[in-house]
Amino acid sequence: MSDPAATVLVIEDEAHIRSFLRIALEAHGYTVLEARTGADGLAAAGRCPPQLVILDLGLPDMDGRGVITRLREWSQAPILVLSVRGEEHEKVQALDAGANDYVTKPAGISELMARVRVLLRKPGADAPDGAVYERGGLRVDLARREVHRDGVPVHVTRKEYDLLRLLVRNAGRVLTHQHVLRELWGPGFTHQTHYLRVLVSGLRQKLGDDPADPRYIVTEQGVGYRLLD
Amino acid sequence: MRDRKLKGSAMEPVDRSPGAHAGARAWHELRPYVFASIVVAAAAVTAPVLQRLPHANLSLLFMTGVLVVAVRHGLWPSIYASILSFLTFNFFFTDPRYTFKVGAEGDVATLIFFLLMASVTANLAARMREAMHKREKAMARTDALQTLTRGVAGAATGQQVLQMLVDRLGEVYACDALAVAADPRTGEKVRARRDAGGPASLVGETPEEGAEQKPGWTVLPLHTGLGRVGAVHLQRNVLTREERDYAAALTEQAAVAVERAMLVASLEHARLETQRQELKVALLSSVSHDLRTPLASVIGAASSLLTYESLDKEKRDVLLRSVLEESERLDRYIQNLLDMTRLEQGRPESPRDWEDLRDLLSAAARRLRLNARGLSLELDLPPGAQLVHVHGELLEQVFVNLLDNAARYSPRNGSIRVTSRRTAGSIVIDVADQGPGIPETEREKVFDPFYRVHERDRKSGTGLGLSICRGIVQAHGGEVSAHARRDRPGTLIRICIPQACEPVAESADE
Repeated sequence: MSDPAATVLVIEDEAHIRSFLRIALEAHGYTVLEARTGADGLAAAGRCPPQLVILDLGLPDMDGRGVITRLREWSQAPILVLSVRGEEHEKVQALDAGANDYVTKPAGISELMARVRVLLRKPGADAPDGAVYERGGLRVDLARREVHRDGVPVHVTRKEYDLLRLLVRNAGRVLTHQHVLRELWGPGFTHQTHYLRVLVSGLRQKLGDDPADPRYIVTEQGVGYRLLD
Repeated sequence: MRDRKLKGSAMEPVDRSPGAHAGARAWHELRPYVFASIVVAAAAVTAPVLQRLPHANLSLLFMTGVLVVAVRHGLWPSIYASILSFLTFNFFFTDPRYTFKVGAEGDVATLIFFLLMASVTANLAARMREAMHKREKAMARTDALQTLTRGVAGAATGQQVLQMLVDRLGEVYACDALAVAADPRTGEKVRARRDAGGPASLVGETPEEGAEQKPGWTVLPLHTGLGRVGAVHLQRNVLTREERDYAAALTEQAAVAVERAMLVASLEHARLETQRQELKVALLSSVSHDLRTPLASVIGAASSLLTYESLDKEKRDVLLRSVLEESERLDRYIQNLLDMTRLEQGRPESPRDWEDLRDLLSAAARRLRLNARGLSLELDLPPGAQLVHVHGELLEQVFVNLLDNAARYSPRNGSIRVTSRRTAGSIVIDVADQGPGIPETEREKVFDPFYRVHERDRKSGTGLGLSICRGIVQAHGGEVSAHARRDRPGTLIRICIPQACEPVAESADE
């Protein structure tokens, strides 16, 4: 699924975190570049364009969002942000600025590697409209517009299907509330979070998904939703 | 400019009803003369009756009337009464009757006697009245002084004392009064004011604190054993010596009381400071204990792994898992400390938004890995999304703390039951565990920060959790309380959060 030769640039000022990231990434066969500051990171990215950037938001020299904006001026390489809990607005801002996903520190390595894997999928491998999503008994066929759970058809409303399709096409990636609201209701509805809460609650019920032990849809507190890959 | 505005506002009541006011004044001035006229008329009516009596001297009757007027109303009304009496006497009772002709030399003498009598009596009466008036005033002042003394003896704060002082002074001198005092030790300022008039009285037009002189105001210093601590400002241009002495006596009384109140306040200040220091020490000891305990496990496990290379896989896993779990505990604890700091600073990280209660509870359970700890979470919520308008991260932390607490006291394979219901204008959430329960006397105390510090229960991390829950819930305008579970032994923590707005439902979809 992932490209074993992929180069990952880690921009992080903490030596211990850099070292365990290097060990884990190299264990998965990736080539690792390290940078200690935002400026070093931007320079390193210019010298040797990476396939993925892992960026810590709390850098000593510049604001994480600034790094994202600068990178996005010329690179479309996916950016995975490392952020601490309790700063949800920062994550949302980073995602708005062009980051593709985030991991909350401190996090387990498996969660982090799962994100890396999803982000390193070639854009062409993104589930196209004709693709089928299958996981834990749930089958969503986008071409036929069909949803099955354990072989039994599930009847979902149009909005529920729209949400499911959006999630399936971005499986494994976080979708912010604003993004989903804009896609499903329109640009004037980005603050109607309660529409989304009600919709997700209904969809989960139909899919038999327990939010405390989610099999399909994970709530990212203060940020959005993610369909497990 | 300021001054003019001030005068203008003071004049306002007069401007508002000039007619009525002028009428009242005219009546006030005319009344003695009306009274004098009535007295003379009464004498004239009584005279014919007396004429029948032997040796009646009619002039004495009229003289009595003049005396009465002189005693009651002073010089000019009594002179007016003398002349009126003379004319009446002359017209009705001396020959030739029913004319104003003076028949005898004696009649002129009568008029002169009338006038003389009137002026002498009036002077005497006036002096007597003045003396009485003075005595009344002196008594009123003594009364005011006593009232103040009694009042300030019971006053608990400097502000109360000053308020009593300005009320008294303002009442006695019928003017606006303002008092300011500052404790030189704590720098704490108190002020009090009294507006003499009704709605038209000055608002904000008072001398600035510390301003020594302002036109139209008289300043009386407040002296205590600590030196000059403040001043009283009276909106009067000049005070007579007597008034000044009296005001000084009142002010002196108040100064003593202010000093006493300040002393009490500074003692209280010191007591609170000591308490704060004690809390700080408790906090530090709790923080270092709660941070070190999981750290000790992490360091112990990690160094064991480094030292004993030949451990079998099972033992290595135990050590590694303890590193992971204890680090996660540390993370939760630090989150609580952060939340507490944020709450104290009164700035939640994000604005309120619509959250699904089920989501928040589930996220908390996930963070705590309740399932992995052999505990089950029973969510008994009404069907559908349970929308609440809250600070999501903070409320999730509340549930993390409550579920963590419940888990800590739950028996093995126990379950934690969470129910919710809506009442008029609020959402009520109950978290019930199967633990031993909290004795009734302790149920309020468990929400005190570092309550655990004072008891033997050293289960780590229980000190701050509940008090942070209370802080967060209160920041939402709600309440959290501990109860005994009804259906079985255990603790029930109840959260009640007011929900002012209802979500506007989306128009039905298909």
